[in-house]
Amino acid sequence: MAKEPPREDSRLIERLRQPETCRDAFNDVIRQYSEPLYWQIRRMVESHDDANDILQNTFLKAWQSVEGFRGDAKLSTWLYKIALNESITFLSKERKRLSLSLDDEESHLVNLIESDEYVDGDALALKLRKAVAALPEKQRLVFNMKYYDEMKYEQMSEILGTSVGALKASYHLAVKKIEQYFTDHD
Amino acid sequence: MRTDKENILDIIGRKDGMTVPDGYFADFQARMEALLPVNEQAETPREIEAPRSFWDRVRPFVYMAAMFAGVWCMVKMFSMLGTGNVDLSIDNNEILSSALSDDTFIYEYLRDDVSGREVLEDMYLDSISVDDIVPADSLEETLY
Repeated sequence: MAKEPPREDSRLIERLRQPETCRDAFNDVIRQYSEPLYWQIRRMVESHDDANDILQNTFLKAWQSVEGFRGDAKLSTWLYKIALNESITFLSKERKRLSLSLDDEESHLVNLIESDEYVDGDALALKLRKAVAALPEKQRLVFNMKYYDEMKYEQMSEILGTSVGALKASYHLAVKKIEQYFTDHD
Repeated sequence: MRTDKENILDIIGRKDGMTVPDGYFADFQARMEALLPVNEQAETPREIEAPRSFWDRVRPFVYMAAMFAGVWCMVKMFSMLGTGNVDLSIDNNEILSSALSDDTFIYEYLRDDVSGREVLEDMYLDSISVDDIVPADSLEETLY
């Protein structure tokens, strides 16, 4: 289910910076990025409805701050940053709303996965989702970006503001924990 | 053992098993485009600034220099007055000193005890008739 993020389009960025073409260009951004951003968000929050709301907020925030986007960073990096911040903020609010500790969050996410109606019935994929849900938030982010989106460490580093070395270590740890999960749940 | 575990991820092959409702992304895009509010900052054409002339660029510095010069003059003037550096005495004025030390000048211009008779004598010597200046009646009152 990995969805390739679209290639950077310098013309799209240029159109975003022109007041006359800004809105049309942003509609193109929505068309190009809604799918890859949706999957990134969905893998974090697990629920389709929550992912839909967060995706909507992501584009609204991006639209509100499009004036400040100068094209120094890649368009995808800028959008991923907003999407991930929105996802993390949502998860934090949910923890507060449901009075969950970080440990409880895993079972909450597993419940969401088990009750998810939008699944294709692949048992192994479902098991992997549960294994990923058991990871700490940062490792979950890193694993999703590297494994599902096949994102380069350099871009992940720009998005998450973490060094490449730390990201590699984090991914390695995440894979180890997932392997252990599969061993424990054989 | 490591190979077995890596195979698990390979077997799953980056599938996450998640799906979305039919036509979700097409609907979302249409909905999102309609939802976007007006962004005045981004959508309003920016006014093109006229190029600044040399005077426009220099003007603030000129004004500032003029202001400092004015302040400096005021400070200088007040400090001179305050410390009494301005010497207004006659002794330090070269022209006045030389004039006062000149007897002719004193005699001609500064004597204040000149009697009416002496004036009349001087006028007589200068061939000026008193009648031309003063009526005879008032002259008699002045002299006697």
